Amino acid sequence: MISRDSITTAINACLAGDPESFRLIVESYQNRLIRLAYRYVHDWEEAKDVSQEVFIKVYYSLKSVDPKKSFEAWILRITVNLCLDRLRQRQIRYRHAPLVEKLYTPSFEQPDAALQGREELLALHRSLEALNDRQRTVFILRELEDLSFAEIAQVLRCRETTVRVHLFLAKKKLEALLDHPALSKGEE
Amino acid sequence: MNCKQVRRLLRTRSLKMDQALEVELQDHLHQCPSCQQAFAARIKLNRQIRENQPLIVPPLDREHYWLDLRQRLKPYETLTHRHFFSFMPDPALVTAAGLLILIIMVTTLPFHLAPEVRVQSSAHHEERAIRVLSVQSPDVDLTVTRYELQDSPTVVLYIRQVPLNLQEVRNQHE
Repeated sequence: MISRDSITTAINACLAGDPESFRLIVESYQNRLIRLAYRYVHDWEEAKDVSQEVFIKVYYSLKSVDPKKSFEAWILRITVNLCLDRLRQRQIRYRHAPLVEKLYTPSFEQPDAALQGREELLALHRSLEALNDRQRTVFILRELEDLSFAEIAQVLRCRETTVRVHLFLAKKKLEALLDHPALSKGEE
Repeated sequence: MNCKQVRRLLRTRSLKMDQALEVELQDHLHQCPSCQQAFAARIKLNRQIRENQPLIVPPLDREHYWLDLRQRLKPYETLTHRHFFSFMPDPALVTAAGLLILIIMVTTLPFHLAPEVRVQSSAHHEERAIRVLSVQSPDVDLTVTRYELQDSPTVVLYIRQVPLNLQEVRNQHE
């Protein structure tokens, strides 16, 4: 992972008028951001698009970067927020779609060819959609992206105990949903 | 092992335990259907997590990704390095906008709150009360004053000290 000093150097170079130095930040985080975005949007192309949008936001806000605060938490927070925005837009589109489209459009894309047809694998994705934004984010960051509670607390700007509570509630809900998949459909 | 200990164990991430503990757990699970259900649910969730965890990003053409991003960044680049004051519009526009805001303020402010001044009317040599409402803007160096004669629908807007050769304006509404 890129060091804090390298980030500061790259940011200063960008602000001095050298956008090429932004490439260092992009290449250090692109895979991680695409992967995280995919956890929400379940489509690689859209995840890539989200990651680029994150970098645009980051580039545009370079002046306001606080060197004392975690750059990583900041960039992850932007990613999470953008993903949640996308999901909300998708829900609005889905709500206004014609009935036939609603019946035949899956609520998420197939992850990739290797996973197609493996219904069990998709069960978790489907259940995650039934969680609220906070619970889903905590679960993804902790259980799937392996961040520590302290890191998640920084991303979500809350206390570690709050993160633990959200994770506990998310797991309880997921367990119930995995046992009774009909619950998640019923909640929609 | 009791139910409380099982629930505490379920809160750990890996559910890894030594053999002795596992035997204790199995004993308890045989007797307690509630814990058995909770344990099975957690095992199922953990399996789902494990299967979803190794998410490998499809091979990415880094050069193409960067060039694509650079293309999208282009309209923003100038904004990032633009001097703050370059956003400031023309001074004449600022003045006009200030003037408009002041007129709106004066005409919409509650007039009954304005102080009442007694003046000698020149036409009939009688004392009349008028209300005077003034708003000043140091930014654009002007003052807008609204007079209202008592028991009369006449409203006078008086604007002075306007730069950029704007003349003194009087608007009379009947």
